Amino acid sequence: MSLLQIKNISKSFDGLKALHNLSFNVNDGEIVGVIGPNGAGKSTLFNAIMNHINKDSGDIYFDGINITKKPTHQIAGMGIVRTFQDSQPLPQISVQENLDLAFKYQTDISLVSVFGRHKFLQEEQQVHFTKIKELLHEVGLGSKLNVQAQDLSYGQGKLLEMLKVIASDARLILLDEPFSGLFPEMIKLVTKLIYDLSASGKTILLVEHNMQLIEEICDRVIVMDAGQKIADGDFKTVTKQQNVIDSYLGK
Amino acid sequence: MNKQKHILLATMLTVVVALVLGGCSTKVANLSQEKIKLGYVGPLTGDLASIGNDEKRAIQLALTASGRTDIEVIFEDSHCNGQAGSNAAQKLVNVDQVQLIMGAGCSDATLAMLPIIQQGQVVLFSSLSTSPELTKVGGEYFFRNAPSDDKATEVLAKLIKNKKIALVSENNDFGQAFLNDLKVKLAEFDTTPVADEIFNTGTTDYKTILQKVKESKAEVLAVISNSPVSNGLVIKQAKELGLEMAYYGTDSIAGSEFSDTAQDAAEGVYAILVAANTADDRVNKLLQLYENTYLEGPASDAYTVLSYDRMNIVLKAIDAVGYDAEAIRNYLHTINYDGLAGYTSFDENGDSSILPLVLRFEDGELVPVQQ
Amino acid sequence: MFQVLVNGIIVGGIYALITIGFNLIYSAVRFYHLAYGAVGILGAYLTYQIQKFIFETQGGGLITGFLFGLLISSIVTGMLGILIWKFLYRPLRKNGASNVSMIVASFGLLIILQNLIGLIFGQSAKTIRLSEVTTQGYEFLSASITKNQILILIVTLVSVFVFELFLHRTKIGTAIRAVGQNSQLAAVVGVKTEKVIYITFFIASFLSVLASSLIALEISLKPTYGLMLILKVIVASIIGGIGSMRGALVGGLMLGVAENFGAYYFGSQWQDTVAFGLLVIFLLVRPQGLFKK
Repeated sequence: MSLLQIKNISKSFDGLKALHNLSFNVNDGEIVGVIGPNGAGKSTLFNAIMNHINKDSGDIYFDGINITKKPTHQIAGMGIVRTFQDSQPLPQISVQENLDLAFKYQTDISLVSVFGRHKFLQEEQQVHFTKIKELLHEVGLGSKLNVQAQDLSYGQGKLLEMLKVIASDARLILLDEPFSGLFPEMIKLVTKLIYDLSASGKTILLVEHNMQLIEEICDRVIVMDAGQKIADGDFKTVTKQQNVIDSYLGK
Repeated sequence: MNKQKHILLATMLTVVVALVLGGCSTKVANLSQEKIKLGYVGPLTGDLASIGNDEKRAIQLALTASGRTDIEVIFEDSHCNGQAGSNAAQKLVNVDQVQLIMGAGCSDATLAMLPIIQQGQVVLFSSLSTSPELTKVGGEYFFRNAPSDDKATEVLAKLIKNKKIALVSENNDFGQAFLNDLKVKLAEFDTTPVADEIFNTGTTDYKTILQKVKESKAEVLAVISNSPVSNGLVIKQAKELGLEMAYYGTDSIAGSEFSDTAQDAAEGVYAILVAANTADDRVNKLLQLYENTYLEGPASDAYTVLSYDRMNIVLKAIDAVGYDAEAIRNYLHTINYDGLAGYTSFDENGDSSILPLVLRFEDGELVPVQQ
Repeated sequence: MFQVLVNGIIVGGIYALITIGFNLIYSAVRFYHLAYGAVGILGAYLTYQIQKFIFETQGGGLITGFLFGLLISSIVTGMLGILIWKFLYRPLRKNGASNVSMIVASFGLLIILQNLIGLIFGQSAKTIRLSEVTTQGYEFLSASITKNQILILIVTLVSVFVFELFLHRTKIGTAIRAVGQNSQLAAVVGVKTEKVIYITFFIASFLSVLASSLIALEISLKPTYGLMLILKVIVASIIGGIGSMRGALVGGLMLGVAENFGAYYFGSQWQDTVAFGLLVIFLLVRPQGLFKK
């Protein structure tokens, strides 16, 4: 059984069909790319999975459980996490506080931050916490723990988002254009982080415009156009399909 | 849309019919029973509610004692402000068509009602309003058996003349009229206050005003306000600040909210207001009757007595000349009524012969002071 | 002179105490919960009623009655706070109401609550006291301050300290601020946004009863006090920085001191003018207030 099952979901905004009878599956451990022209509905798809928006029809299953109507924070708690296209860590709280909220073992309402009580964490959690701290230094945010997220550079903000994803230890990760607007060194960093995630058994659904990166990273791609799935398979095969070429050329 | 329109029309029709029927039924009741309708407007809620309720009960006691079943009093609430008072007057004059209104309590309300009763040619008889303004603008239809503050300021000025005086007054009709009148009378004794502070209605923190009073080294503090709560807060905060001086207040000190707010700080405070003459047996009988009927004593003995007298004066007038504003008005100018508050007669301005006394809080009760 | 300053600090402390809860709610929901003033006063009336009941019919002491009343009333009012969010603000928000609409709705609720208080308890002032005797305040450095006033100041300072810690050093505090900044983003990392808002409203409403009851010891209770207090709170929070705990303290104190010095030099009738003059100055010169959230 697939980890994520999208079954016939549709969503219209004021008569405009953003998602139209969309169905596909994502299997455990896969890295699946989602590509398509602007306005194809890719971000809407992510919003639909996280239930930021109600679906008109259809169902979404995660690990066999129907999450179509569950509240967003509950879906997040079940192990799905997403990033946003225009990179949005919570702006007026610090890097450390952002990570705190994302940290896996604290989705309940508690008093003390993980950074405050890391000495008292159980072993498994300690290991996870140490990993986050190391990554912080690796990506150059180690000295910026108390800096407010809105004072970070664009690239640093995206790195923070990736770190939050790692901190949450979610099983399914939805990345919405994680590379857009980044310099080459940052792109390398983010790519590495994605590979690390996949290596540790995470499942990734990745929206991206950079075809090179998609080909490089993804096991399989899904092509969307006007809210519908028009292709599903490995990159080379799919990009040779006539309907895919047509949609990108704007026919 | 059609359905909505229909519903709207039906609702409006129902409302109109209900109003008409409602109005009709009262008129029908009027004709069949031919009751004489008198109006009352007073502070039944709000700052002076304790005294307003005394007035109301006194009227009811007088009416019961008279045995008259053909007289009905319509009670309206003035909320101790001009707006509500004039609304009440409008209703009584134009809707209920009374010839006489007993009211109002607070001077602000009474002043606001004057244009309405003058135009409607309805008698207005107050047992609580003391503003000197009413003497000037009351008009030929206005009467009161509560003494004008003019008399209170006279009594007060005589008491505190030649001392170092601090005046703290409320920024409203009552407060400023009293204040200015007092200063004029003090000037006649060559006395000028050392402190003169004005506060807005509803102020709760008087400490800085009291600081200025302290710095002025005054020996006497006179608080001029028709809110018992404000009076109480001033005295309470003065005590908390350790001010040592003699305190004088106006008639609003009679309101129970004053002693509730000031608690034991009220002890020793002087008040200039009318008082019930407990040497008069009739007065004691009335107070006892009040307590038996309502299971508690009045908040103000004096104003209960005044209101009781008022109702009786009105009854006497109706008996003598019938229920007509003109006739009653003329009649009132001729009387010298032996009431529980003393002999009551009215001058050409509608002011009565009743005078205020000097009282003092002792053991939680206001008692007259020997002059 | 010094007494005037002390007076200003005392009154300022009162303003600050109510502003703390007001700012806390703003941190979580980003609009002005104007009805907050009336909620606190309603709670204080409950405290009064319970104290009266215990003192007059159960033979309890004034202080015991007060504490008992305070506890029960705070809890009940805390729940009321949650209900207000759940049945008024949240549905409005869900339907896309603008912040202006929220303010208008909140103001409407304030008026309704005030009238309700007037209907249930009557318009005349109610007094709460802790002892049967009024005592002169303590003298120090030529200024006088009473026990109750000292208590209010202590409670204010402690509250500012505690709530600042709460908002900025605990996970739940971070969650509250996160929800206020962007509830969608907060939900995406798993923050239970509804629960966080409930907790905020409960705590703030609880605090409002404590504050209002202490204030009632000073100036008694009238139904209109809710409006009076919230107007001061708005000024204090704008001066100090909306959402900031120490801003509540500084804003409240500045307002109290300005009012009293204004009363001293210009006369007490100008007190409100001074307060709103200060507000206008800050709106022109530094609208974000002195402290950041």
